[in-house]
Amino acid sequence: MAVIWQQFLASFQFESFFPLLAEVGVILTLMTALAAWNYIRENKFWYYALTVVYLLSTLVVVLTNDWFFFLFAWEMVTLSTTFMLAWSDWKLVRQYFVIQFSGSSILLFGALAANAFGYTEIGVIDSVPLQFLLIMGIGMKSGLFLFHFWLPPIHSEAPAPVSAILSGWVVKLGYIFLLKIIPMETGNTFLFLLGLAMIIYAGWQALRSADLKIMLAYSTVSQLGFIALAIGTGGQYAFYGAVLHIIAHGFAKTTLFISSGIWQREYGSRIIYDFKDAASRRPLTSAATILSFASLAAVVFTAGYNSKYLIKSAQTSGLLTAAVFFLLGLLSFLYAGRVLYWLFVKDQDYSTFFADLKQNYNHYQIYTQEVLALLTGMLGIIIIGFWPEMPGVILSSLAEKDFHLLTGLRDTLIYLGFSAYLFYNHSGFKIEARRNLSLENYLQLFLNFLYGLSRKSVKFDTEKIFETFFYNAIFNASKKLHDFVYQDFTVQLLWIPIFMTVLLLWQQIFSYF
Amino acid sequence: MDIKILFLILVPLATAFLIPFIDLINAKLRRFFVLLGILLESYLIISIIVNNFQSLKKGDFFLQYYLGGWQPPIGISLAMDGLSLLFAVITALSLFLIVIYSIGYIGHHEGKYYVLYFLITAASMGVVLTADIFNIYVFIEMLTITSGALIGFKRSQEASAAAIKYLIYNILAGLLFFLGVLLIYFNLGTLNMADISQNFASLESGIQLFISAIFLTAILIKMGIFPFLFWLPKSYDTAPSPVTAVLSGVLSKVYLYIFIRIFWTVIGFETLVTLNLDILLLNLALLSSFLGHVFALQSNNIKRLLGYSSIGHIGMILAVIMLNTEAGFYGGLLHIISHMFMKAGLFVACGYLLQYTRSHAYRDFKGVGIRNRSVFIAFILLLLSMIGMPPLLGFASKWYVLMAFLESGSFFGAFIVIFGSLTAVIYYLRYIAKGFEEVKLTEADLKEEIFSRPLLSVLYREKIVSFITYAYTAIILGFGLGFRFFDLPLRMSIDSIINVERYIELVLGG
Repeated sequence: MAVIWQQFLASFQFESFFPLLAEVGVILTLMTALAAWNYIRENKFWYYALTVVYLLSTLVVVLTNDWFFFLFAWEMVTLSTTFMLAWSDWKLVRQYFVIQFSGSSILLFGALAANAFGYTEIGVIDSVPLQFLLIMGIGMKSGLFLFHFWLPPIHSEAPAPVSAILSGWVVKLGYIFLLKIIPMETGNTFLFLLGLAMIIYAGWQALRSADLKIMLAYSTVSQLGFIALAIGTGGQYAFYGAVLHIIAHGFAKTTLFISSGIWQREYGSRIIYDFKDAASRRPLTSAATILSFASLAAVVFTAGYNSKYLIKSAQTSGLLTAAVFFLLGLLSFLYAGRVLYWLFVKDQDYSTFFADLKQNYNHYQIYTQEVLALLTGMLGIIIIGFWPEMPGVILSSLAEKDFHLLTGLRDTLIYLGFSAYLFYNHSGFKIEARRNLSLENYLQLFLNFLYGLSRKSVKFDTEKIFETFFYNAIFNASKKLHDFVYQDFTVQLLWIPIFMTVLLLWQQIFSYF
Repeated sequence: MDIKILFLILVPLATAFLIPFIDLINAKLRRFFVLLGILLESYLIISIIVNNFQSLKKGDFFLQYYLGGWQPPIGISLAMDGLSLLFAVITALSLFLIVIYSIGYIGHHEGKYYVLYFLITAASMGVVLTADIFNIYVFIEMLTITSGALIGFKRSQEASAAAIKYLIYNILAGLLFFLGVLLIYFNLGTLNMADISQNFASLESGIQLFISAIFLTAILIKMGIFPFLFWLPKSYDTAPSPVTAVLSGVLSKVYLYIFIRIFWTVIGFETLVTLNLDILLLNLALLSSFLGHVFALQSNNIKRLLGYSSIGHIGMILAVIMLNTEAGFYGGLLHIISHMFMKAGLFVACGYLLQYTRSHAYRDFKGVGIRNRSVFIAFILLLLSMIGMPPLLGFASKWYVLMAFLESGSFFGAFIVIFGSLTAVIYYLRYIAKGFEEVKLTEADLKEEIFSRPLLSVLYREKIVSFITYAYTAIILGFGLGFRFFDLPLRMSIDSIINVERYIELVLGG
């Protein structure tokens, strides 16, 4: 026992970016814990107990360099966040559990393979196939392209503080792991392409969604794409950009999900078209929402601008790169700006703003804990926006880095004009809210596709799909094998002489092979 | 000469024979007498460990007793080395827990039950301790007959059918074993294992092959490896829960011990290698493991399912031992220990959970978890350990098994380990989900429930029964965190498996 304990303590590595990331993780968790104080009403004790377990295990995941403790702690993170989903629906718990553990099995396989190839500690891995295997392993957990299918349904259905935890930090753990294993000099082309696909696809989906939390979940995937792209690029500034983007997006998305919980309680709806008089009803939440969306959209003087600028500057310079990154920035700006447009611009009457504010100030209850959480998030975004070198010694070289703020300001203004033009002329891309965005629905669609190859679509009972389809297939196949092997008792006994004969003639049989 | 190891066999034997006389005096005394017997047994084991702790640490632990004072090649001797000690300790611990469970669980014909139970205890101790191959045969027959009677203990039609099937298979196996012993005696003129081991290489290779084949068939039948797995699930299903726990937890492990003793100490692994049988056996065991897990998928009966998964696990253990590497023995022995506790604990928990259900079928498992919440949670923990969840003992042992397979490059074996865990998730989750389903009892259901079941085995002492379940769960949890505790005994027993010369020298010369 003592030996394991010593190994555990010795496996911590306080080097490079990771202590900084661990600190940010702690701050984000505390923010969600504050926000949950009024949101979670039943079984509060258990919620906070799970939060503590989650917090300790994320620290281990970020800091350890031992495969065993890393995997163990990550499973603990998964388990604790899984049970946090129970405050919304047990169905989610089941789905999340199954998905995360199927992801873990790939990761476990990858870790074992890495171990077998001589990488006994978590560190830079040079072999490209092994990198590929580990990227696949974290894919399911961190929502890489094509493995992200579970992320929007689960993150949008979870209770708001839990969505904040999941979107703000849990999905980042995979990228922190990639920061450890991908060599800084070379990067990984496959990861770069995946990141690009994620940014474009999920950005497009975010633009098309009417539900605030689904939009936030898709934008999470899209922003994760930037991190994947940065790590895939390789190079010192790309990695700094990835770290900074992890932090920036962590603050922004945590704040946004916390405020989405407030909006949801305020309006009883998650559809962005329903939000009226947002600014006067909840001034501070509005400010936090605007600032965080500005950070997502990479407006100058926010955290998101710095990180995205670093990522951009690490690419090989040229016209094509500039154009592509300009368009990617536009996409982020569009989906972030669209929500702000619906919340604060479209059909809003600001003539009686101050009177409303005064009236509402007396009318609404203000929770101190939530205000504190939102203020922390805003503070984080602003500090990193103005002083990107602030968070730690490791990033101190960023103080001399020229961030080309004027170019950024120019781009922001172009984006602003362009998107304002688009919104006014297309009535803010009003799209019907998608119903039934759930994993069962995906399964239904997939099965209908399979079935539809031969005939018309069929209504599956997706609630019991495991029992009726998946399990029955396994059950019947194994039943066939069982019935084939289990003949009647005479045949069963006949195996004894057959087996003896095989053993006695084994020398001759063996010599044939 | 240490008479304590003789008493390890004599105490349960005497308990078994005295129980009927105690019954004549007062039937209520029986329970205390049974406890006394098993406590005495535990005291003996503990005192052996404590007295020889220094030599255990140094790694030269060896105890011997000559029956009647006759020296080994002629007389019968009992010998205890590291491997025997490990098996004796875990067998005694398991039997100790199960006997306490039986005090709560068995509510009828208790006298007969305890007689048979203590005969099993005596016989399994005897198998583990003896240094004489004919003695092993005698004790195996004792195990077979007593456990056959216990399988048919419920006296229902299925129970009798299962017991008869079990007896046919196992007596055939015993017959084959006896044939092997006879062949050895006629060819070498000795029955002492060390003596046989010294002279076995001098035999012709034809005779060697025949003897190995006969022993192999006999022991594979006893363990339930692939071509002979048919008797196992049926008898696990119909026997009362404590008996199933003994069958799966103790007997299969004792047969594994016999396998190791005969094929490493007596016949020698080199013989198997020169006969090319090791590759055949390795792949056969893995195939058997595969089939066990696949069959478990289709089972609609929880106890049968556990039986199939036992086949899977024992196949895996046999395969990892057949690798004949140090890592293989380490993983195999650790998995023997963990499987012993997990499976016995699961059957014990099943006995509690299935007390009021109509049958062991899947549909009757509905609502079991809601009715007995805490025991069901313990049950789930044990299931997770079977799957191989990290903080539990099952994970540690599976990890070592997997590492042993990877180390020796047997990728089929590594695949089987992971395949076993994945299929286990599928077939166990189904039962866990069913256990938490709400039951809506209708009038017709209630009537059927009442009339279909002669409420015979309603638990006698519920507290004891649930306590033993928790005890097993605590063992799994505790040793899951502190599996390094087994490091010393495992190294010691691996040492005594590999150093055959030392065993021969000590048995014959000491």
